[in-house]
Amino acid sequence: MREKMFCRLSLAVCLLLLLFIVRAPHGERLESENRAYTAFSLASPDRYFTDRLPLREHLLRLSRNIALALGKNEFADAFLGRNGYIFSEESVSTETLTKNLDAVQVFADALGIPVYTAVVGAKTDVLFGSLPRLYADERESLWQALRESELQTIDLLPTLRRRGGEGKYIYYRGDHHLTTLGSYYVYREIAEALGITPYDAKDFSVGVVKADFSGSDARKMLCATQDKIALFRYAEDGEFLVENRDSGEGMRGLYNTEKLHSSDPYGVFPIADCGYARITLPNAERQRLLLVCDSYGDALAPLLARHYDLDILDPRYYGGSVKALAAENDYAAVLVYFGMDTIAGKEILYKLRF
Amino acid sequence: MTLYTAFFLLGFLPISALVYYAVPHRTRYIALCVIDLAFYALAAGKLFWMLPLLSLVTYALSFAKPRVGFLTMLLLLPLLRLCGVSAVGVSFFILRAAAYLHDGHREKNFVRLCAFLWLFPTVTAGPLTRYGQARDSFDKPVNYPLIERGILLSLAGLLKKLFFADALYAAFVQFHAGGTTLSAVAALVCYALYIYFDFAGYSDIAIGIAAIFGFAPPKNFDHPYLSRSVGEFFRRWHISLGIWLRDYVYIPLGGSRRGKGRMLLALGAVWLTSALWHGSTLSYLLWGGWFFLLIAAEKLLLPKGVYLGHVSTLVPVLLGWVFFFSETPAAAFAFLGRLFCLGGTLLYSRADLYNCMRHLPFVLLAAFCATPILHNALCTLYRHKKVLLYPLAAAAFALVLSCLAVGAHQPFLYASF
Repeated sequence: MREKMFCRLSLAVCLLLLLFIVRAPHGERLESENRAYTAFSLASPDRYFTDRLPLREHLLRLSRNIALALGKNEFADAFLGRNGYIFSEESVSTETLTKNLDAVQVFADALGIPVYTAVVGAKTDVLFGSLPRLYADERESLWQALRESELQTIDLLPTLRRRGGEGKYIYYRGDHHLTTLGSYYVYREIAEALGITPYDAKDFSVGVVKADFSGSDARKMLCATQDKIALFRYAEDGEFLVENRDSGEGMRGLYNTEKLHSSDPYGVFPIADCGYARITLPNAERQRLLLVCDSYGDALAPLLARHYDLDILDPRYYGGSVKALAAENDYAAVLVYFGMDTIAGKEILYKLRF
Repeated sequence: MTLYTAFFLLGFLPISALVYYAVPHRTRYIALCVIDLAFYALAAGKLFWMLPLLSLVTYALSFAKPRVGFLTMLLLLPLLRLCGVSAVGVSFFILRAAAYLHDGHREKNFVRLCAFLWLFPTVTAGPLTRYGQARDSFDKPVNYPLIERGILLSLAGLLKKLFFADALYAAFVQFHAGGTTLSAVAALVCYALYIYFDFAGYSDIAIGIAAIFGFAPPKNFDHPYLSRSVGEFFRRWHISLGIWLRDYVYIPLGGSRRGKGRMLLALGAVWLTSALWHGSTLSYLLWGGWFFLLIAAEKLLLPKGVYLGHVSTLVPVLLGWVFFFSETPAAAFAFLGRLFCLGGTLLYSRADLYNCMRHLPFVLLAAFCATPILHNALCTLYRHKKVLLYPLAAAAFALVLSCLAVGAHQPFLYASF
């Protein structure tokens, strides 16, 4: 009798779960993971089911808590460091880095203008004091390969390590990006290499616009890090015209503050997730810079925009010919600016060859 | 589709069970046949026609002499591999069909034969069931105690696969990438536990789900790492394959009753067959050769009733896995060099210490769960205080759901053989 009850109850639970998964209403996006629900496909139907599991967040937390309780200190490719930092480990290789750098070299050789390459370290490359005890950084070979390339590189690592060592808030605790302060230090290094005079911090009006930001690393670890997004603003930053050349949309001002209250507050930088964007200061004759970058460029672009009109390409989303674009436009220089995790993790710069 | 995915567990399985038990029990084998085929079509994709085709061949061969049918069926395996046709589960199907033919069964009802040969929980990766065992399970009314056992066993298997095996594999990959002796030792331990939890877990899921549909395949693992000899290890590891090799290769070739020379020949044939069944690479041949040498030495040198002991068994067994997971013999020997600190290999690195610190509690928990202590305690509970087992089952189900929610599971290793 008891067995019969157990069997029927088990079947009922499974069928109820199935009913919930298929019929229960839900939004369009998994807000906690900042992505859309997976659509059903017979070729790979599992994600459809797991995305719609009832109490999904709690189930994920259960998994995470067990992993942490067992001392693993990691969950979903993210791991806990000290001082409230959450780190993530990406799959990178010197081979991929070299291939990307070779593509930049081919691109630079074909152009008659200076091409600078700057690479931002991941938190694991910089914030040694916040890494877990005994954690060993085994990425020095990547930096060595970058230094040994024949490209015109801007070495950002010493500055970032020094500032990080001083305890400056240069990376978000729960996101892989540089904070705007981190981007400001990078901007100073790049400005010097480009031969322009960087503005002092006191020339900006710095203000926190969001105090509870939880980025990608925090989302992986299913926790809130209460990071602060600050903006380095200046008087004329509201006059800039920012065009999304993919969609044809445009907006006034360097920051889209409406995004601060969305599931992706990093969208405050209006060129985020855009293949080709342009930032110009109307009615001003200025030099033009081509910025080829990943999302690390989002926070840097508003600072460089004070000196240049910018064309910003993210090769992950841009489908056109970068060489043709560079030939058609009168750029003073090109800045190739990526995170080490991107440039050594994905072979994306082959597009520069065409 | 595999047995440990969300789509299968929360979609395919409950609907199949509902349909299966809604049909009158005398015609359930027809429903089962349809369910089996649907499962295989989702698992094998475009090559799903292999199963009906091979079943027709089996049906036809059952009217030939048993030995002819057996050998013809076995020859199909290298033939298919040479032709580059590698549908999931075909090697298991061929062993099951060959045993059916060897045992001289002549099931006249083709649909019933298919329902046995295609039994969906076991079709892709075993355990290898025999028709004599399965025949009696057809046409039986609902057996609730068997279904209950099946549900509990499936849950245990899912935990082994999703909770332990996947994490152990991730630890193995991390340690394997290291270049030191400590990382090699840790990688070997992680791999040994991974392959056990992966395969034993999958077997438990398969046996449990077969039980939900009224079948009772034999158990496939019996805590092998506690064996006291290498021979015993393989009597407790992938038991159904071991029995198959014993009954259809070792004994027909003379076994141990016709002198030492014949025994060595039969043993060599067993390990050659086993190695080639896993794959026709040199690494698998070395793996088979290594265990052939160990078991032959045991049989020739150790007096009856004398055992090597747990540790003396475990060490050579672990070393054998090096040939199993290495893609080439060169990689295997390089790993062994690391393991024995040869060629200037460092003893340990800072990264090893960090990884050991992270994985040690989990690996110890896994090692504990690979012993029979927990299993025996749960069996005692099942026999005497079953009520207490239900909340545990509910907790296990929640844990399984949480593992499913995380997603990205390591594919079951033996599905590739």
